[in-house]
Amino acid sequence: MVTEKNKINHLLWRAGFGPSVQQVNQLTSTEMTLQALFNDSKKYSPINIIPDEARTREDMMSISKEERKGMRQEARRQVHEISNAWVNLFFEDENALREKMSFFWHGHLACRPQAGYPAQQYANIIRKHALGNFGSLLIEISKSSAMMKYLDVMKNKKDSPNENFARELMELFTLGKGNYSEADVKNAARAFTGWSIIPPDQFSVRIAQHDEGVKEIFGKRADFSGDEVIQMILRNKQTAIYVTTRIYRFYVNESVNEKRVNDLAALFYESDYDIEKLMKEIFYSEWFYDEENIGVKIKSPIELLSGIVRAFKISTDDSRILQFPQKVMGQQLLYPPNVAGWPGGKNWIDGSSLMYRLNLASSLLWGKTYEVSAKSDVEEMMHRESNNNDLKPDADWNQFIEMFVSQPQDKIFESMTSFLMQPARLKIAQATIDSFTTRDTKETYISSLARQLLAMPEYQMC
Amino acid sequence: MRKYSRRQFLQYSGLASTAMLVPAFLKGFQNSSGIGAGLDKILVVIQLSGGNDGLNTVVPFNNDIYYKKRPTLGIPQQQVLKLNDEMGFNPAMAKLRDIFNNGEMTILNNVGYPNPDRSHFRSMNIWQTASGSSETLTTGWIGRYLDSQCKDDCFAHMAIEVDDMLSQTLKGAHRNGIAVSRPDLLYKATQNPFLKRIASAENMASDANLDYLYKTMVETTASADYIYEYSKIYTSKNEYPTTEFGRHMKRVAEMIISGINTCIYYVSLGSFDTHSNQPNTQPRLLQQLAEGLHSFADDLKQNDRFKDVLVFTFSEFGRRVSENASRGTDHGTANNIFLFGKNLKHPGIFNETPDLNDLDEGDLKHRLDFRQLYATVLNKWLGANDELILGKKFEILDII
Repeated sequence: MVTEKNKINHLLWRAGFGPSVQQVNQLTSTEMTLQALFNDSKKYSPINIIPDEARTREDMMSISKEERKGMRQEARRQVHEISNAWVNLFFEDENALREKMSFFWHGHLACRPQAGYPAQQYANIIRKHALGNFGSLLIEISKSSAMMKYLDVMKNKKDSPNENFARELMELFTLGKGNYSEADVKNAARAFTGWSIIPPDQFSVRIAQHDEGVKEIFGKRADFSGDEVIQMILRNKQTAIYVTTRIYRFYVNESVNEKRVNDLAALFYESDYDIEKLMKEIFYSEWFYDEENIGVKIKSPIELLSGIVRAFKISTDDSRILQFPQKVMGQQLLYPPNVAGWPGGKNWIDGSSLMYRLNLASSLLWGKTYEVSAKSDVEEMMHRESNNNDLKPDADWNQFIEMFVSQPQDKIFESMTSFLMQPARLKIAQATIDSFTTRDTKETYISSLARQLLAMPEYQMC
Repeated sequence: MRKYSRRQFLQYSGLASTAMLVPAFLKGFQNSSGIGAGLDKILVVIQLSGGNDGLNTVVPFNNDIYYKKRPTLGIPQQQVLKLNDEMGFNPAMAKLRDIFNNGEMTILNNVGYPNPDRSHFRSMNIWQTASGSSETLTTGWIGRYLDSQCKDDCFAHMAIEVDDMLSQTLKGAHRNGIAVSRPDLLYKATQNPFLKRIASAENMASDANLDYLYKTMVETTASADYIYEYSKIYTSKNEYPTTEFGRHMKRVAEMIISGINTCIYYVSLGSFDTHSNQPNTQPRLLQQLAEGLHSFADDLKQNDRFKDVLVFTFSEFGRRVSENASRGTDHGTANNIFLFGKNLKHPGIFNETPDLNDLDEGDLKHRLDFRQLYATVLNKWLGANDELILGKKFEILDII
């Protein structure tokens, strides 16, 4: 039986980054939770860490190698700063739906920005359009300096076309493999020739570099511009099917119900790619709350980290708490492995990443570190980082304990599992788990039980 | 499908540690999986991270263009450790010349791939997943090897990366290798009484995600026990360099000599990203590589295991032919690859030296595809179906 509580937590995990204590106390029905999620995400405010003045980058050629190296390091530091600022937004109740959607789009329109300002701009475009119109999102991202640099758009010139962007646009962003030909990629690349950025970040088309010849794309012949190619792609229903399938896998279930996805895709297409409308259709449906969809996804590293931070109000003032776990678990915001984003699911899990993940909550809450060191990052020329450091855990245990302490002793286990665990049934019997707890007082029981529950594979699921 | 309880497993590995024999259980295990039969075919892959400058590793000391393009970085002819009339090692690699002279080393020149990518991440991704430069794969080539060899009865320690984090290379769709930098630490991490208790839960029948987590936890605990038990069998008395790489190679030698059931080891050394002051960095790293490998080979030879091992090195790219203005080199393309072992068909220099007259925007053109090397190693050394694992047929090189 799926209880109302299960449904609320399911919704908070999938539409956002897991429940906070405050939400559990306030939200008493799915209806109320849905309203709160959609209302709280109406506002958008940009991340604004790098001031506009910082956009103007000095002419790289006129400065020394040493200065250039310094600038590169500074650029990377700024990307980290944007990454931290963005992850911190995942910990807020406000805007949870919008931020989770941005997180999805970041994996879908994956990009590794090279410097602070482009990173900020990229994140903000995604966040602004996260629940808006997919066409606008796609066009603005395609014309952002971060993406254009990442996919070699500036190298795509009339006499020496570069197909990188045209290919990924079709393969990963819109149509999916098998729904276009190699000739389509080649000719679309010609349509995008001349796309460039006037420093610092103004998109423009350099006519002299644009190939004005006739191109045959998707069976049509004309002197297509880049914008026209994107419009053609959006007019193709396959784009709606592909993007909806990705959304379904991310939000509902890795195993896809085709009939359902086709219905959703039709609605998405007919609404001219209204993302919010699609998400309402999903979250207001009955099937979203079916038992087969609850607690069956492996949390991504950022979801896992966010869930712990939110449930225990852990202070993230020291950004090492954010960066190191992301690195070791293999998901760093603004550092996807490649343009295909993070593969997700079982791909997160190997023996060493799982041991780290099972120990993560314990190290964030009790400071017991499972000693590991992260691979050195070639681009940062950094030495191995180790987590064997002096991080002082800083969690709000009072609010967590208060949530359960007024309940009778024999009810605590059930309400704590319902708050912390998404799978309907635990694989380990309560008696076994209880035998590892301390039962002197309710308080010690609550904290020792939390410790065991958070170390279980069930906690890795959402 | 063969099933062993954790208790049985421990009993057997306990037996092994006292009797120092391969337990019957493991023999059966080898036969049933077909992997590493008798473990006389062990592969060690060494990743040189950051892009090693191949031209200053194997120096074309008779080539004027080399010295013209590298007025400050070019290694003077008299310092080069000559291998033949054209090529010689960086002077930091004296220890490797012994191995080369013994006929236990093959050098492949100009190894790369079409449309090379000069980003570290992307190019490393290409080498680790064995993809083309315009496709992205999510599994590594060794991971896919494990997928192809293992049904249900494989353990994660079939492939070990000496590190705390597992590289993409060792991640398959269904099977992964395991990352272990120190067997005692991994063992300690899995000894948490609560984790041990729940890892003994019986289930894991389905393919569902939660079952997969439990299954991985059980396997990791079992592998951690197994590796830890074996790690006590043989402690090398040989001298290894006191660098991280030296320690890692020592660990690999100890595991091989102790008879552990692992057919692939993966070790990294870096960072070779020498944009500036290359002479301060590269020789130091090359010396670590040479000395580490030399101690490793010695150790194995003393225990009559060198014949069972094939080693190769790679880097995500070589570096630009011309030096830059800060005594460094920028990201390039094709590079050389070293193979070590007793079973080399063509010890010495396998193919033509880099053609410095015929460059692609200042970079070397590749003559051999790195996937030919992978196909050769998979097919000729590991006896696997290279075409299945690499997704297409690559011409096998006549080197093993």
